[in-house]
Amino acid sequence: METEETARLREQMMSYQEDVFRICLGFSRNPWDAEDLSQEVYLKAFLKIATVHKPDALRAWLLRIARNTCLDHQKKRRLFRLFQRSLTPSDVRAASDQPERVQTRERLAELKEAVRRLPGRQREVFVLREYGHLSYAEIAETLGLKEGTVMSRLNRARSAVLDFMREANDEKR
Amino acid sequence: MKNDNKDLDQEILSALIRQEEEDALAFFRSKNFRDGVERRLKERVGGKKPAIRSQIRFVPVLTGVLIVAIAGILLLIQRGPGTAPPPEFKALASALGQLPGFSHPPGQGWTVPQGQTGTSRLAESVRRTLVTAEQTKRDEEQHISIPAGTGKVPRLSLDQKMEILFKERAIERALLLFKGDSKEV
Repeated sequence: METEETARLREQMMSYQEDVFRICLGFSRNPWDAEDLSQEVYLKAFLKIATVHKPDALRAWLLRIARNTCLDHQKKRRLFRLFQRSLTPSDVRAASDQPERVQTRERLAELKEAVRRLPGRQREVFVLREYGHLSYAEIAETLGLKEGTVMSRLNRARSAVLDFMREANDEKR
Repeated sequence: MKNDNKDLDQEILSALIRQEEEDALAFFRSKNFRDGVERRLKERVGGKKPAIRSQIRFVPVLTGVLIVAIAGILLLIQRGPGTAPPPEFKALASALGQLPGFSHPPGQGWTVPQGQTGTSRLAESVRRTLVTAEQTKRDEEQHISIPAGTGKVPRLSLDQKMEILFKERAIERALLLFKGDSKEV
């Protein structure tokens, strides 16, 4: 039986759905998988809602579930990665777009590839910061790290992403 | 080249990420996320297998059935050859006793029921032979019965032994005739 408190927590959780989706997008690299993963995150959260003792920490708890769900999903898909070709909404669009738009799309594809190539520890910090918009403190709490560690990993991740994109850009020229 | 490198600085990276997010969020907002979650929740909760606790309820019942079955098998094994036949056998014997060919009241031997028609001559002769042989055998058994408590078997003469063998043989032949599928006549 759903209590009033449970219903209130559920409503509060639903207000974080775009945060959860963005994190899932950062890990999964395509919006369809991100939506599916977000639903899975909420399913898990709703089923474990009775374990929530600190409503103030609800968002952090939900984002932690999102991160764990995405990592589990990545493990499952690792075997199929070679055969997987991610399809994004930008790929679906016709080639009759403006040249600037095409260039942006190419860079987006490079960005996705760059994030995908990041080592796991750097990638999760990068995704939580750049896609989840979490503060250093929140990332540290979610991952159980010190803030200094979060910052150093994030710097390395950003450098790696930029290096990859520069190299990709140089190859085209 | 230099400008390109500048383009790929942190600001551009952030802008690219915002662009990606916007595209994806447009897709996400076009969906009814809440309905999707509720539907999956119903599927998960509705299609869930029964809890182990509810399955545990059947364990005592199954254990009871198993114990009864084992006890029954042990009783059957322990039942000796001299014990009374099971009630099913008694019921079958009484049912057979109601049939004309099997009626055999104690002390009367084999008889043909009154008003019974349709019996063949062969069957009649077989019955007579059986009645005679049975009566003779009963007399013989009474004659050679072992006195209780003596523990000794009485000696029989050769004629008496031959007579018993002859009667046994006669009964056997009569039974084979009655059965009808014997090639030995």
